Amino acid sequence: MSTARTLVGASLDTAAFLDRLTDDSDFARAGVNSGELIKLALACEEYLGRALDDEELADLTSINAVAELISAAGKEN
Amino acid sequence: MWLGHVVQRGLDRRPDALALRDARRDVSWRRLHREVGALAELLAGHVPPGGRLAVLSGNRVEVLEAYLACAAAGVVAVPVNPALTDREITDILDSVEPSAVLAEPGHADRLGGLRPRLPLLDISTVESLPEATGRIGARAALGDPVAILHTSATTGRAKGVVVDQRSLKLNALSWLADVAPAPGTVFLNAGPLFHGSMVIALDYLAAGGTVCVLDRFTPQGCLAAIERWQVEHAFLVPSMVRLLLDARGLAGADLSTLRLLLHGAAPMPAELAAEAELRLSVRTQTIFGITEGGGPVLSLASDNPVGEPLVPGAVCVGRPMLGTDARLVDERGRPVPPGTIGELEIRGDGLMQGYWKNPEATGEALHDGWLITKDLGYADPEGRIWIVDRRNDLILRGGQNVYPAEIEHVLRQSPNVADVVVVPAPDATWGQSPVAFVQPTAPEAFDEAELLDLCIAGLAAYKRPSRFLRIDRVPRNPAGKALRTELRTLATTSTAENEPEQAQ
Repeated sequence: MSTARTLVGASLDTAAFLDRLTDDSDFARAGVNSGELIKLALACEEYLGRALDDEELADLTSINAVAELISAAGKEN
Repeated sequence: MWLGHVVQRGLDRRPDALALRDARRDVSWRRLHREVGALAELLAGHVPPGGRLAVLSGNRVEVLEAYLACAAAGVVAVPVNPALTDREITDILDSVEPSAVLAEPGHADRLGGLRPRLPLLDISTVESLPEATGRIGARAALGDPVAILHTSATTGRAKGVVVDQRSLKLNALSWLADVAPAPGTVFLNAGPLFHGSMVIALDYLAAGGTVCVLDRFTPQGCLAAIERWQVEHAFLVPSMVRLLLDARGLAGADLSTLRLLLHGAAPMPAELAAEAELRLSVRTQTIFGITEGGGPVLSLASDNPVGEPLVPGAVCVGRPMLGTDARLVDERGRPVPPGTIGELEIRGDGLMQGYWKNPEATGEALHDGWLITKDLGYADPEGRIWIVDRRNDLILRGGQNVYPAEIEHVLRQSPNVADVVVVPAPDATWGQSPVAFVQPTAPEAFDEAELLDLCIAGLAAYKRPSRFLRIDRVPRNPAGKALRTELRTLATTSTAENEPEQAQ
C-alpha cells in the first residue's frame, strides 16, 4: 500500500471506509468527514516534519493529491 | 426585543467598532444594524410572524445576522446542519414546515431538489440588500420562539429545541457575570453556528464584543485566525484543543493575545486542560451546557482548584451560572446530599420552551420547571457539581451528540441484521466514537460493506460507526432491554486491543 493510502487509512474513523476510496476519489464527495480531513492534515504534517501551508491544506482532496504532496516534498510514496 | 436591543446598543455606543468578522469581510455595528434591518424586511415579505425560516449554511457572519433578523421580523430561525444527509434534512423540513430557506448557493441547489417550491433566499447577498425602509422592529416578545435548534434524539429522529429571547437574555447576563468579557473583547467562534453553542457568540455581541467566525475548524485555520484577528477569548471542544496542540504550526504561531480558553460540549481531561494552559499561556474555563437548558448553565474557572474526584473519572463542571438553579435528585426526584450520586436537574429562564411539536418528549424532559438532564453526578462540599456518567446512551463525538438509536435505526434496514446495538467506545481524538454490535440473521450474513453502505446513505458522516463488530447474540435482560454497559465494556476492551494496530 502506498504511503498516501496508509496516511489516509490511519485518518479515517471507520477503517473499512478506505476500501471505498479509489486513488482519485474526491474525499468530500465520497463522504470523508471534516474531522477525518483534519486528522489527515496532521498526519501529513507529522510525516513531512513541517506545517502545511493554506494551499497544501486545501489541496488535500484525494489519495492522489496526498501522494503528490509527499512526492513534491521529496519523500518516498 | 432582546436581540434588537443588542444591535441598537452597539450602533449607539460603538458604531464603527467591529461586531462581526469572518474570512470574507468585516461588519461594523453600523453595518450590522443596517444589514439586520434589511434582512428582517426581506424575511417579513416571505415568512409570516411566527413562521419558520430554515437556514442552511456553513459558518459565516450572515448566519448570526440571520438569527438577529429573525428576531427583528418575529420569525423563527431553524438552522440546519449542512452535513446532514438528504433524508435527515427532509425530516427537519417536514417537521418545522418552513415558509422559506436562507441558504448558501452550494446548498441551495441541493435544497431545490428536496423542496422545489420552497422560496430560496441567497445568504451571500445579505450584504447587498437594499436598506430597510423602517426601523428594526420589536415584533417578537421575550417569550416568543426565536429559534429551533435540532438535537440528536433517542428516537432516531432529531428533536427541535424551541428557544425564546428570554433564554438568550438570561444566557447573555449569566455570561457577563461568570465569564465577564470586557466591552470590545475579541471572541473566536470555532464551532458550527447551527449548534446550541452559537448562543455564546450572541453573548459576546451582547457584551459589546467582536465575534470572529471561523468557516470551519482546522487547527491550522484556528491558529491563523487567533493570530490575524488578535483573538482574546475562544470556545473550543476538547478534541479541538487536542488537535490544536498537535498542530505543527503551533510552534511558530503568535497567540499572545489569547487569554481565555473556554471549553465544553464534552468532558475535558484534566491533563489536557493543564497542557493547554502551559503551552498556550492561557486560563481555561469549563462550560457545561445543554441545548435544552439554553446553552451554558454551569461553569468552572481553572483558578478554582477542585482536588481529586470522589468517583474515579468524574469531571468537575463547577457551579450554576447566574440565573440557573441546579440540583441532584434520586430516582424519586428527591434532592440527594453532597457526595451522593444523583441525576442533575436545572431550572431557570434559560430553559427551552419544549420540543417542537413533541409534547410527549417535552413532558419527559421538563417537570415542575426543572429540566432533567440525564446526567449523573454529585455535589462536593463546596457546592461544585461533578459529572460521573450519563443515564442515557448519548455518544459525545468531538462535541457533537450522536444517539445510538439513530444508527441502529439505519442498520436495521438490512435484511441481514437480526439485532443491533450501538455504544460509545473511547477515541483518542474525539473522546468517543460509535461502535456497532451487529447480530446477523446467520453467521455468513454479516456483511460489513453493506452496513457501511447503509450508514453512508442514511447518516451524516460524523455519526458513522468507527467499527462494526459481529456478535452471536445481543445481550438483553429478561425485559428485552439491551445490556449496553456490558457492550460498552466489550467495545472499550476491543478498542484497547486495536490501539497498537491503529498506531502503526
